[in-house]
Amino acid sequence: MEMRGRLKKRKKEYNNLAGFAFISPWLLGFLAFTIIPMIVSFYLSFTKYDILTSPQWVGLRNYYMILFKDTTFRHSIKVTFFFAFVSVPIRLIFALFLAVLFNQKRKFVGLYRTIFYIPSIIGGSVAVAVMWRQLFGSSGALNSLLAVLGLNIRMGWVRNPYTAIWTLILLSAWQFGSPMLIFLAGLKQIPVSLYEAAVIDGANWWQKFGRITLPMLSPVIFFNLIMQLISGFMMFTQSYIITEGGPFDRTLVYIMYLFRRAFSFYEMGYACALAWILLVVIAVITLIVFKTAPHWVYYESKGEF
Amino acid sequence: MRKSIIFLAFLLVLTVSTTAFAEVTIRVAWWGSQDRHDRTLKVIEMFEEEYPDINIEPEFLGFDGYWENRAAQAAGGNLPDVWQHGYGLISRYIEGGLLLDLSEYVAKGDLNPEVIDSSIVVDDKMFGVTLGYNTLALMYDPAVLEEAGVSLEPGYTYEDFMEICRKIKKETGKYAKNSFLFNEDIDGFCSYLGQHGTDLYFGKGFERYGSEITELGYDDDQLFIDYHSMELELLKEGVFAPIDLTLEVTNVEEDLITTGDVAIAGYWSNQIVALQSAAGRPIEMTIPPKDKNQVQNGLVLQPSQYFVVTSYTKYPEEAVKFLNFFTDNIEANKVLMGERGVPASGKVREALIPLFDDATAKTLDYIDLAVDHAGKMAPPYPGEHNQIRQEYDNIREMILFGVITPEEGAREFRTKVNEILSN
Amino acid sequence: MSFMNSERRKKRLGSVLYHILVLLIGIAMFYPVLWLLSSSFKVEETIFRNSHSLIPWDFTLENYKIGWRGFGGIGFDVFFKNSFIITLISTFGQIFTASATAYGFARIKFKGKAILFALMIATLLLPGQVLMIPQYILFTKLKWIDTFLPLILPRLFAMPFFVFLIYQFIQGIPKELDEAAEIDGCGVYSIFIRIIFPNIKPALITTFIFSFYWTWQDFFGPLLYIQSAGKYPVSLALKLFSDPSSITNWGAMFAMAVLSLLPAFIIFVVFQKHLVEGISTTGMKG
Repeated sequence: MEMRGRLKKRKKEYNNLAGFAFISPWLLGFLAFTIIPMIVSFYLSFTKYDILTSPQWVGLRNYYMILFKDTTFRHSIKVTFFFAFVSVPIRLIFALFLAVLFNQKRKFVGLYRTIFYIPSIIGGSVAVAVMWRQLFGSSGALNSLLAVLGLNIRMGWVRNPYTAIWTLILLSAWQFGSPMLIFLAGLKQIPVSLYEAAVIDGANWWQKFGRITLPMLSPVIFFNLIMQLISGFMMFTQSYIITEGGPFDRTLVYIMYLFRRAFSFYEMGYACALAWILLVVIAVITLIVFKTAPHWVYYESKGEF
Repeated sequence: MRKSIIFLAFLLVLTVSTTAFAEVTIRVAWWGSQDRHDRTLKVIEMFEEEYPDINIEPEFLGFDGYWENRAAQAAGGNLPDVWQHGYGLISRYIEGGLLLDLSEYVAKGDLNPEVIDSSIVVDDKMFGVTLGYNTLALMYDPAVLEEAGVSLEPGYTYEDFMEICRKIKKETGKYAKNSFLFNEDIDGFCSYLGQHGTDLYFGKGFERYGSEITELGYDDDQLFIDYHSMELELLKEGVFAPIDLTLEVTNVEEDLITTGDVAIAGYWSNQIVALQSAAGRPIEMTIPPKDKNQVQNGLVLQPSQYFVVTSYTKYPEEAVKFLNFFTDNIEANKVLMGERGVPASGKVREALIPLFDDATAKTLDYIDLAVDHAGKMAPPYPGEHNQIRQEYDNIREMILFGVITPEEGAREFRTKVNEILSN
Repeated sequence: MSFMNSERRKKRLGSVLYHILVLLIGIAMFYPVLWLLSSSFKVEETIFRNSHSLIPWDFTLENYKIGWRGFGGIGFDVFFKNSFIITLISTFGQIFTASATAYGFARIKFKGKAILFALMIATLLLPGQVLMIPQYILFTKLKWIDTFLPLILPRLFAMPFFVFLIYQFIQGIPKELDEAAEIDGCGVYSIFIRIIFPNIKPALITTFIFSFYWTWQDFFGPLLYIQSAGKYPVSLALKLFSDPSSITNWGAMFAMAVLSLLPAFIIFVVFQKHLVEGISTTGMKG
């Protein structure tokens, strides 16, 4: 009894020294390498800066132009939202499906895992882009396959204004290895004893999944959802290499547009303003997801922050 | 007294000897592929042998990322001493005061005036040396043309060209060309404007200049409409390859002419080396079409790349020595072999001619031909050119996909360009 | 008897179906990789001309030979060495710093924690392209250009992604474990070393794999900060092969790309077993 009282007191104590000691590996790096560039980029967003000469202060002009006059901005927001909200669920569902599939002790599971992860390792290299272009090109594998099935479409999927974005979505979905790995790690941490108890209680596969797997996995799902959304909004390399934002800006994702403004048009100030606007947008979305968290995310350690 | 004289003499000898052997290091940057890197590095070696007290640190990249790298370096005040530049972006760097004026070195005779191209002379100041010339060329597969029973004689018009294309499609079943009248860039249209005595930015006879440019250089939208209607017509007739097929091509190896899908392609003359090698069969080239009502030639001889010197370099003399070696030294150019374009220096060209391989020799012949059919070169395009090219690409694609008409495209182009230029 | 048989048959059927399903999806997934692999063995000119055939009829090792030579006397052995130095140092460092930081946020109460945590997450939202130029200027002033420092040092400090990842895993460890250790007399630091760190192995392995792979294939960083070719990592060297306006040696590039994928691939193969073994129970002690 006495001990309990002592324990309770300890729980509520602040331990500032230890806290800061442990987060110092992040904090120091943040102060040194992030905060100053962040401030500079914020400052630059209020200037006209063509990189080659000094920045000139223009106040809110960049923001004004972006929010009220820039039609390409609005267009790229639409493209980016579409891409993110379509590709992320697809990716996560695939990742979860296959993680569960690979969490079993079957023959060759290790090999399968590796094979399915490889696409994600290949990542954003030029070789992948060429490969993808070839696959979906007019004389590529997809069309050959369709021809075998009797559909003789000789379409260039990558450069068609209606299908181009889907090739990028497919590429993103193809590289679900990273969230899959994280799901796998999460699955590994679910105590087998829970499943054993469920089996004894007569639970079937579906119930096991819904009542044990999903809730226990929810912190990981939460993590993956947020990370994938953020990276979905910040997709750049694939658009840059495969479709170059085209045709006529149909696949002009936000960062691609930002990049263009910065390095093709030499308008760094404008690009910085675009970046900060994106930050606000993503922050809002992330906050919404965080707000919904207590309703569906279950923390084993009774999630007090 | 004597001791101090000896000491002074010693000091003198010391300083003289150290300055004599002082090693200067200059950084040289360029973009290219493996072939160009190998050649350029060899020339650098040769240079260092000839000038043992100058050491060169090479920085080379592919085209992808080269300009981002430069931009970052410019922002950090860290540009290399000598670096490769191109026609499209150079005016920004000139206006930004980042390039060294080389006119005094030309006056002194440290640089061959032949290598200074008029395109980068601004107010009598010279901002770079040209590494080679090239120009627009229409490449074609002679075998296919023969099969179709047609030929492209220099001086043929757009009408002739369209007929020839139709005949190719009819007789051989192959597409005549990709979806563009010339190439995927704005060059074809600029030529067309030139043939009608005007220009994208500078107006008739290059009246306007620099910051005076606040709107499109040509007044008559009909020029835009006519040019792009020709394109659209041949596309609709099925004589040109479909637009999504065309847009897939991003390099020489994938080009439709390489794969044998089309007979004709529009390129820069020095690219025939890569094209012929990728295609694995003979490719010829000739000048692009003329306009039957043209007032002047639209073709222009252009420097392919430049080497420039950064204005705040610590070693301008040494940098200039390198430029001179690179452009004017015969042995060096025997290694470079005109890979960047036909050399500007007369004596270098003469020395190289007997050594050129088939494809490169074609380049030279072509430049000779083109000179007879070339017009005057415009000053460097304004900094906004990149942005305008982007708008042009979008509008043109929309026209070819059938989303808008050439008339709407012409209006849209004018609106967008004026908006960009007036900001 | 027949009941047993049909049970086994069901299991067998299930197993067969499982393997077929996985294989079908797997083939679709793997085709692009096979294409890349086979192209690296094809004679240069035929790569695009015969792009639909997966089998390299004209098998050659030329691409590997030419590719390995690299550029201007600097071969890919140098590039690989550079990549390993940069990647291994940053990755090992990251494991420790990220887990320490995650522990701090997950288990310790301290002033300003919420704000700092939010700030850390916020940095994930800032597009890298925009920090690029200011960071470049910063590194120029520090005279770190053309060294590995800008590539390694920032990565030694904990990165928000991994902190967040490990944080979520730590949340999955019941606090009762901590409390039990406390009773035994462990302080905050030894709880970390004895309890938490060993129990987040899957997260640490995941961090290792990801951090390795991301650092390995990052080319933008090296693009900006490395000037001399002798210091290029593989990711940057690969880009040197391609120049849209002149001859690109695709065969050599694909060959070297295949080689560059090997380290990440091998690491994954080796470590994913540990991911499997991991912990099958997080039961309480005793």
